[in-house]
Amino acid sequence: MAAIEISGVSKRFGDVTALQNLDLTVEEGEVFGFLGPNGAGKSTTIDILLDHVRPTVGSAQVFGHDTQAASVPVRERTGVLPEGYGALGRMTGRTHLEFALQAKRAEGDPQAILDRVGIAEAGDRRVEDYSKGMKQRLMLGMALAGDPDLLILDEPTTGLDPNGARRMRQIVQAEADRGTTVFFSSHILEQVEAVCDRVGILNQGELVAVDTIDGLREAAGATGQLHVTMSSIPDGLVETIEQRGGVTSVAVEGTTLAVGCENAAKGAIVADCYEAGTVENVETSETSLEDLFVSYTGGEN
Amino acid sequence: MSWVAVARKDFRDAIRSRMFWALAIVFGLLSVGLGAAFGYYSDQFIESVPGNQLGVGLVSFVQSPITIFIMFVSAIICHKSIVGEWEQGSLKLLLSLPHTRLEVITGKIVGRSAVLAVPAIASLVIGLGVGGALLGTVPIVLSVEFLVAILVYIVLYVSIFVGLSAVTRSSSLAVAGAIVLIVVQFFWGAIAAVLTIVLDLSGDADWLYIYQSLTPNGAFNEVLSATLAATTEWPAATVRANNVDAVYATPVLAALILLLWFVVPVALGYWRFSNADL
Repeated sequence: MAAIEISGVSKRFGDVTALQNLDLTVEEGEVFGFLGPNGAGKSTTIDILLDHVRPTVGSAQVFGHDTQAASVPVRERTGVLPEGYGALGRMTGRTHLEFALQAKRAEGDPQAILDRVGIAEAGDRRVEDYSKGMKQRLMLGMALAGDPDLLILDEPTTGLDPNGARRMRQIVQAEADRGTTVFFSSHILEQVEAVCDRVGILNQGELVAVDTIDGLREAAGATGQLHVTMSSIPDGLVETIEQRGGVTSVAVEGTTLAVGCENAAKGAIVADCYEAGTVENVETSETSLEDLFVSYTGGEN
Repeated sequence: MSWVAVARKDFRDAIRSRMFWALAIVFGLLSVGLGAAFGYYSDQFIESVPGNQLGVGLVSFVQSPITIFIMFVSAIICHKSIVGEWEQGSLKLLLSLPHTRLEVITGKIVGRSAVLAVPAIASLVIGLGVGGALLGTVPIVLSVEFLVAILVYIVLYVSIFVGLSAVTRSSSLAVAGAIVLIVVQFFWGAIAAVLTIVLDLSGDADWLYIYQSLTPNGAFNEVLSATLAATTEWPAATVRANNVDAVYATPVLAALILLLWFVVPVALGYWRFSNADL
């Protein structure tokens, strides 16, 4: 059974179309990255899964439960880190976790969760006094309460420092290893690349691509980048490189050549540079997820 | 039974706020002040109290200011109960846990009723005790029934204002609604006087019984008087139905209207809230 099954969902708010005919299946145990620029409809999709928002057309199921008709069973098996919300009232961190555990009818040690998300010492402080990052960690803790089968994380690294972001990734990885399905929305690409099995790219309410990251790279043309820094750029070198097979673009930035090309062409290009002048540095990279993202979403961001 | 958890959380949040303690202190001072004032100056009040009975006088002396105070305070602490959390976004967090929207509304009503009821009942017990001690007589049955009535009154206004908070989509609308409800009740009598003149209804004033029972306070007071008069030494003359000669002039009508005030705002709030996109 699929963990998440979204069929033909559209959502309009007045004249604004937030989602357009969305079909998406996330298998059990999968870590799925949901990418898109701000306003693409990521949060609306999550809201539909949790029955915060009802689709105008279409339906969604979580573990076979209809999200509207059986919302409570859905939420009993789901841990949610909503985007950008501080806290529930004036309770301490520990009472927040107790409240979440109670709602999930789960046994569990609030202190163990506090340890896990890295705010062990702050459990008895009121949440109003927490920093943004601490609140975010607490919200993650609430999502983890009761060992959910599905973890929905909406922009989970908002407000986290690099250590916090790394811990977040480790927790996602540990949950995935435990067999939890993770649905992870973000516009920060490195994080998605680091933890996700599959990625969906949402743009203006439409799902424009769903694939593994490697698959997306291939589909987008699989070009890599080569940067060669020289003491100076000799005349005619740019033209020589442009005529090589597999090269898609050559740009000069100061004394650095930035070449977009297939991986196989990189050796010959470096050799061209070596013969023509003094090479100071060579850097090579695969297509970044960012390039993919821009190519799929039209580059407005 | 997830509404219990929501109610408990709501109550716990409230008792951590300064406003709760300010409320408790004002409640205490008001009740004890009223009780002591009546006990101390009972000679001067005795002529004006219903039935010339000290116990009845004490309760009726305390009733009116306390109910008005409760009406205001419940508006203050309840108008944001749903819409405020909706605006802040914490409602999404609350509803990401396996609570239903009905449980959230129920929990809010129970929790905020407790926030009002705890200081109200505690202060009234002390206030009536002080007044009774000064008078040398405590009307036990009457006082207990009065306290139960105050509980009913608290739940009445809390559910009206929580219902209002669930219907509206902005805190300012909820405030406006609460103010309208309170102000209209203060001018209800004056509005009737104007209507009587403008529509030339002076011939038959019996319809005023229905009119006066339409507001939450009007309905509540009539039902309270009828209940107290039937079961205690409370004077029957305070029951408006006894002074009007018409078939519809019965406390049962007031009770039905009161029931509607309990049900309709909450039902409308729930209907709107359960169909809303958060």
